[in-house]
Amino acid sequence: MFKTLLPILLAATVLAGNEESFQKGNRAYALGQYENAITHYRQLIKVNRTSAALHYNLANAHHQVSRDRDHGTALGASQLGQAIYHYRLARRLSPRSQVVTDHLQQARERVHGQPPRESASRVLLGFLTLNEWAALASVCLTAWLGLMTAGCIRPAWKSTWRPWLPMLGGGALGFSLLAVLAWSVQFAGNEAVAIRETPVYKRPLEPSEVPPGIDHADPDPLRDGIELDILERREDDWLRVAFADGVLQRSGWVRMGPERRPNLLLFPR
Amino acid sequence: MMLLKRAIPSLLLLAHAALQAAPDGIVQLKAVLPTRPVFRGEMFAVDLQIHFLANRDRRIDFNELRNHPPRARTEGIRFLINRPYFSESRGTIGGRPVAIYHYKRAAVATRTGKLELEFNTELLVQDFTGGIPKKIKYELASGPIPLDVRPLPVEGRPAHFTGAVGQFELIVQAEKQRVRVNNPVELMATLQGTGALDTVPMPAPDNGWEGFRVDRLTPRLSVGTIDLEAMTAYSTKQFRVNLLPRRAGTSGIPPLQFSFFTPSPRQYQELTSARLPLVVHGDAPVESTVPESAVNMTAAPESEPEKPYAQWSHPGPLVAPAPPLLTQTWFLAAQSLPMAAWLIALTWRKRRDYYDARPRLVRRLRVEKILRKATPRLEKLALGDNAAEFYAQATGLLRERIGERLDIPAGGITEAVLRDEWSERLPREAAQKLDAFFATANAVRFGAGTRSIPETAPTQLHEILSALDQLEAPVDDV
Repeated sequence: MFKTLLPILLAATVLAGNEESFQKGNRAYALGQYENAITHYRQLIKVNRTSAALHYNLANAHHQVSRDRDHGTALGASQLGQAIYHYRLARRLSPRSQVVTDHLQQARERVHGQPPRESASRVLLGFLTLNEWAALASVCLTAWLGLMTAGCIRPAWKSTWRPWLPMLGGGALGFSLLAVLAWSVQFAGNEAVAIRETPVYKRPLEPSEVPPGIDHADPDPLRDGIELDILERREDDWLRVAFADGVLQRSGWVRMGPERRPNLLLFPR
Repeated sequence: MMLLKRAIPSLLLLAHAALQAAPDGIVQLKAVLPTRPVFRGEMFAVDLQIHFLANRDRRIDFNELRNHPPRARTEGIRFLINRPYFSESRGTIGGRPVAIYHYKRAAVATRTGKLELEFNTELLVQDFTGGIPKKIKYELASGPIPLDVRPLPVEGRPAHFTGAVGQFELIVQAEKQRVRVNNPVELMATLQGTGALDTVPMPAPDNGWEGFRVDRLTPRLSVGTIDLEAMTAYSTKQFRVNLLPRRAGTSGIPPLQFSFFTPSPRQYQELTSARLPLVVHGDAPVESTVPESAVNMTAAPESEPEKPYAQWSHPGPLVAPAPPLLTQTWFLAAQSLPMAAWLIALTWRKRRDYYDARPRLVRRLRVEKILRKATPRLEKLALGDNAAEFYAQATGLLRERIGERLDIPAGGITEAVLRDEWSERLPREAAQKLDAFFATANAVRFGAGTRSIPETAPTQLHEILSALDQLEAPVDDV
């Protein structure tokens, strides 16, 4: 009896602790102690917990620190990159939440001076979560094959649902394609956000070229909050990236910082 | 000023040179500093040179040179212009031609005394000797180079001297001459001339800013013309402040005072700006009639400070992040179940349609199955000498087989049918055996004859069935 109840009690205790950390973060945020709030939310991420609300609240706290810094009421580095990173994770989990999308756009506007336009394909693929696309494809495929199976057993029924078969088959194919596309966009690990100013080079530098040559560096470095598409990844931490900087489309090579002082946040696979 | 400009190049000609050769004497770093004493804070030129014994087998990448300017290894001086001015010239050492790369910089001494300055750098030289290109790294260092830095004289130093050394002029301008109490008027003080201005603070009035509140704005320093020979920069530094007069009345902006030390005549000089007129009035604004249309107007609401974003109060399911369904084996396996069901159903349907279209084939298969099952049973009955049952089952079996071969129902097999249909198709011997077998069966089943099974009966039956097998089976029309 005790052996049965023990895991349940432990699980309940852990769940209550997680909820408590989340609420502590919310209380600190309400008092304007944004850094404290960030610490509480991060505790949950450290123990491998995730939810749309957690990432959204954490992103808000980072965003608020950046806003205060811009208004001169707080010191420290801008945290817009962190905010954008967590807004995007929140949107992955809750893609149709308008408030998440709005705040993400506001953070991007602070980075670029204007809201960057998202491509139609990204808007379409971002309308559902990856699991929702996969489930939809699965339902259509199962229904299509189910009707076909029933048609084999009772051919007389075929005439009843004949019009549905092309729709379900097309739906299964289309949703499967969209699920694969969404997976390749969101989970291929080819996206990142800059969280510190980082120089952009025309080519990856060799170890003998340290300190980096000024002639190789683009005069405008990557700024905090700029979102990157990773085009190529080398083993020595050099990344070939393309990104929008305001209205400009730029590309170049950047080097990932060390783990203790990262300059880029890569989206998880 | 002009004297200073003329004097410095000649001083450079007498400059001390130090050479530090690389192990094989191919590349050398040389630093040229003034040999005369300089004052602390005085701007002087530093010419760092790389001498390179170039030939067809060795060369230095130009970018490599530009990107690795020599740097000071010891403390005591501060460079004023961020990037050195890079140039190239030719010379000879021991009759051998050398390329000389110059990095000219302006510097000021930050310590007094007899300094020993050292410079160093690293260079990669591309070596093609032997036909195999390779890069050789040289760590170059100049030897210690003496620089005599003297403190600024105490005699004659003005009370408000802030450390500027060089030759400067002061220009002061006010944005307006009439202002209300507590309203700002912007004052701009510009210092320009030859010398280091980066650490110089804004000139101030003798008695401070009495009667004003002062809001300082960020000063702006710009480097103008640079004399590349003497490496002296003509710089401009603009200071801006917002002055808010506290009292009404005719007043003025107090004159600013600035003093600097000039090394050439070795004396301090003082500059005092003119007193700028400023009328401060504090009278109330004149009442004016408000147009009727404006009475009902409401003031535009002030823009509110940005409110913090509202947080979500419920954390939702706080779970460990799971990999997407598309990458989970169970999900992919589940998709194969409806596919498997459909394939099974399709196979079943095809098979069923095949047999439905072939009734004669189905009957033949059925009869063959009956024969397979009945043969051992009949053998058992023959051994048990159960004549009635044996002949009953054997007759039934023969009717099924004959019916299948004639493509008529088994119940419709009569002696007349046998005579008409089989007289020509069945071999004579087999037909006689069949007749004999039926006759015996009728006698056993319905007559009062013997009740035992003749020994030859099973063999006869087998021979009849074999003969029937030889007959052509009816074919379905598909």
